[in-house]
Amino acid sequence: MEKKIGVYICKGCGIGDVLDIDKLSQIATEEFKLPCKVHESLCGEAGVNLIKGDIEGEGVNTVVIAACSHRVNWDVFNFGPEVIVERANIREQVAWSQPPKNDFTHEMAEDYLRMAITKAQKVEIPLGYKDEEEYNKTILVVGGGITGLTAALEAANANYDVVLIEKEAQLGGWVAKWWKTYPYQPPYKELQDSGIEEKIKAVMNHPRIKVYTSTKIEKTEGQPGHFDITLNQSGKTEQIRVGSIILAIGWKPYDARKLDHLGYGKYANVITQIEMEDMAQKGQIISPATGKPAQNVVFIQCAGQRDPNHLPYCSSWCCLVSLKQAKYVREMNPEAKVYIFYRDMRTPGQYEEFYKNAQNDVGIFLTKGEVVGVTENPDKTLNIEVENTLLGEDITVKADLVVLATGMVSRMEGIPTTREDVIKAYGLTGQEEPDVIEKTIAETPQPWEGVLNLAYRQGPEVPILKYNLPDSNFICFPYESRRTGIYPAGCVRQPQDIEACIRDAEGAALKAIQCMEMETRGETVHPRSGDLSYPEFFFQRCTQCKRCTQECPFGALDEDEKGTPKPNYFRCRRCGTCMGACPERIIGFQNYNVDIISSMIKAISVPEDDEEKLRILCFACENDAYPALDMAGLNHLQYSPLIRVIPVRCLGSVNLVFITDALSRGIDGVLLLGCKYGDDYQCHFVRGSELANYRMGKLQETLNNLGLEAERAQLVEVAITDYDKLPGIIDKFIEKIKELGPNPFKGW
Amino acid sequence: MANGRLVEPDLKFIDGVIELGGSSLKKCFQCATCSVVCPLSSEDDPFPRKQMIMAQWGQKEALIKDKNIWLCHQCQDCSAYCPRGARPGDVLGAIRAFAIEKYATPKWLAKLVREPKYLPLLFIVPIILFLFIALLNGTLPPKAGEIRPSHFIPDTTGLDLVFVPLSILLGVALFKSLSRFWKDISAGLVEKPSAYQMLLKGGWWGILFSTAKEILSHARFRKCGASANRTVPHFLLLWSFIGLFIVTGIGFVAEYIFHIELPFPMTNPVKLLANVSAVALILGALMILINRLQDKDAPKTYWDLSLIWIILAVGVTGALAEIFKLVEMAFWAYGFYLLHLASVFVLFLYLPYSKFAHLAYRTLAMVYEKYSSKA
Repeated sequence: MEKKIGVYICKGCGIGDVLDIDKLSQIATEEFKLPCKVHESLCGEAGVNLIKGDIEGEGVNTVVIAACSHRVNWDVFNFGPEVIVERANIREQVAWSQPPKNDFTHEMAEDYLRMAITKAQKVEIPLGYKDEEEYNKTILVVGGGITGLTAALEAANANYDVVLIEKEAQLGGWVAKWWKTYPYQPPYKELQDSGIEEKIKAVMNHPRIKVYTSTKIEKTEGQPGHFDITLNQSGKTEQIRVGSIILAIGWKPYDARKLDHLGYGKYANVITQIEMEDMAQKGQIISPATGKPAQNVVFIQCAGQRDPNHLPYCSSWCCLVSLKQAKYVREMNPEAKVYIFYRDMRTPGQYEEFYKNAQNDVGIFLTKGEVVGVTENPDKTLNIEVENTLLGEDITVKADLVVLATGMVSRMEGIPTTREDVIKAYGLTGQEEPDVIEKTIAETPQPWEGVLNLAYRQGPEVPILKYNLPDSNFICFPYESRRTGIYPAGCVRQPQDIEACIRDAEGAALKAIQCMEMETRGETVHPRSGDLSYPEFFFQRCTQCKRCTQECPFGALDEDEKGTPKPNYFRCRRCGTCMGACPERIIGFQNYNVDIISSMIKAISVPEDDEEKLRILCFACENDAYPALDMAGLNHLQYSPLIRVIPVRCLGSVNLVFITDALSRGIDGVLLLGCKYGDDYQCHFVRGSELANYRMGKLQETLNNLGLEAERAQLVEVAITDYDKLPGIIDKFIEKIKELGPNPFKGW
Repeated sequence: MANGRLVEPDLKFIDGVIELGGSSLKKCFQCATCSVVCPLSSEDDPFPRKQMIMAQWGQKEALIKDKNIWLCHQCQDCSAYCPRGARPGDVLGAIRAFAIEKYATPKWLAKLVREPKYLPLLFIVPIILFLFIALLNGTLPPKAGEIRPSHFIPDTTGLDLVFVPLSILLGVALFKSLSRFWKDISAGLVEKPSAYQMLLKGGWWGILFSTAKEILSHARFRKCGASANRTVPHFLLLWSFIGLFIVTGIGFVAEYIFHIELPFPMTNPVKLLANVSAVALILGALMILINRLQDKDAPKTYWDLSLIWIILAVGVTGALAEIFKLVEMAFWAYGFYLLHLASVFVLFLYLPYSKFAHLAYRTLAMVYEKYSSKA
């Protein structure tokens, strides 16, 4: 495409008061020989019409707007898919954060304009990734419990074909095993039926849902839209193709045999909540040791939960389950007494009403307390010793049935998810020769039962983070996993109750549909939803170093036998981590690549003889750090005018060559601003900022070889809420650079 | 391993507390807002949070021995601030009823007072008794002419014949109850106050004096926030009883020592005190009754309300008897006098066995608090 560039500078929002706009426009007209127009308010109707007029009248197809941040008014400055728009942020990051009519301020604005024009000259319009093969839009739901059933129904009712597989012979999962449930609607008072039977019937009768029971997945190959699944139904294999997957494999109870300090396994009268449901289904709550109806029932909450030796977390719902089961006992035997010993009674939201109702029962006795011992009497009754009770003393309660509230464990527990875990599962250390590893894996039967058994280079299952819950399992992005097109929902993802599972299933069904619909349009999914760019590889220069295939946070890249990456574009989230990883710089996007960023760095003017005018380059993560910088401007917080910010998709996409290029050009320091990394990371691409930090460690040697101080490049973690700290971070870094003195490479 | 007390909840006690006005008992979820807002609770041994769970758990024995249930004046600050809509003030009131019942002796008499079905009996017995006495004295019907109480029920062979032995019997019964109560509340005292500590407290007399001062001035009552409107009527009632007690005492002395014929003329300061006290009694009882009935959340139980009605009956029948006497309507004057004597008789019975007993138990609990406190 022949580019015809038009440059537009806005004087609104105080920009005209701070900068000498005529002088600024000379950058476009004299340095770049481009037409430049100035307007009082570009985002107003007249301003937009000015640009539209040039597009229609003059044939301008590449618009450079020096005005506000690209994070705002992007809809106003959208001139259709044929027109490239680049923005120079001279409002938030210059006019609002620097003193007016000042040389330093002006130079900053000039550099931003140069960088924007340079970028505009380089970028191409991304057209979206298209594949010749047809994109399959069937949804596979793995698991036939409440979540799976709901997800299948929701997706099918939205007119998508669904395949539902369940490893048991019956649908319904745990919920089908419950006698009653606590209430899910106002007035939240009485026990109710779960309604699972109707749901199973609806799924079985739905024309768009195909159900496989007693079925497991042997292998999952391919990528979204092209997942090839090998099913095994009681020994009979079948191959199906699906578009996206909802992982609703649920939970298992924590192994109560590990709780012998509470008497489980030792005394017949100690059971779990699961066994209690079974008893209730049979119609009578009995004392197992004697077979007589239980008269004194004790519930011990947090049994093996919130305990570093067992489950460190709270399973959230056991309190309500015990209250529910206390009602079972009282409804079946009004003479019986029920005791509940809790650490904290947790009944979130409206469930408080159910708690109140149960509490109002004169035969239900509640107290906070710490159960320190369960011992058996000769008549098989149990003495439960409780300390630190609300009664203000240590007490003993005699019971003929003790129910343990054991926690919920994700089904991912015990399943290796990454390549490293797999090697360990085979009893290897990973230090062996690659041949030995391959041979062992090929010849030994798989020592665990997998779920999806993904044929991915990075591992056979959706990666987990903490507590065996799938990675990316945090508040902002429920249902996301690190495997595009695979959406965990329900208790595999987080301990949840029926109501929460239903909500989860609805959300995950929507995500699965969204994935398929966006990808057929060539767009990517979360968090760069709608991005039409995609990575391109210049394979002739690939050295098979495997960095990209190892580092891709989403397992998008497989390898051929030689180790050359095999991209699965539908798995890709466009973060550019591969681009940052590649030492050969052969990976790039149409509008975001090594050449574009290097050229932008080159566009920064570096004064050679002025010690005051140092130049500091800053790569700021677009997701949190860049908006935080904008917010700093919005709050008119002032910071050093020596900084030049380039927004990046993720710090993971920052290639070390950017830093060495910048420093060898005489730029005095490079600051990387990105998200928090580690176990409680905030990186939107999971591993990007962590990888950037890792690479920064490698950079030191290079800088030492160049005779430069390692401190000239630094990575700082910032959250979006840290906008008020940013001026301090920037100024502190620049102070340090000032101490080091100007870059000795200046002028070379 | 810990060896805590074996706890077995008494379901009957829980039902009883609920019936006696503690229906909100089970609502408590132990946040302890009540103990924090309570103006009367102490830092060392706060209430009523702990009493709430002890009641929920049916711990009758521990509760009735707890001095704190008596230190509560049912201000209802706790009930006003409870986030859960529980009314600890009422629950403690119900527990107090249990405590009075538990220490009451003889039990059959306590039962007559506690159960509404025996109320007619309580009135009929003294009416018949006094009519019978009048018959024996030959004063039935009273002779015409000047209307004097003693023309109907003679003082020595009538009034005193009934009330002196009754007072002695009830006094002995109450004393027995209170000794058991004292034994129980002081059983938990780990360390008796040292001689030096007692000296600081002013000895037993000092303790009694400061307790009396607190009660007479209503110092604790006045700390109440939510039901500050209870202070004035209760104050009126207490002082009217004191006034009437003084009047009766003077009357007794006047009659048996100075042989002055009763009643005093209307102009006599003693009579004036009697009339002022009577007005205060009626006013106080009416105010309490109105407050109670207007408070929609307050439980309306026989245990709570019957005492106020009886006090009101004593005041109103006495006043009417006096008024009819002044307007010289003999039948009505003597009629109301008979009813007045019956009401007073019932009120006497109420003292050890009804809510009225708080007079004794709370006083003793306050004495114990002062005695046992470290300060």
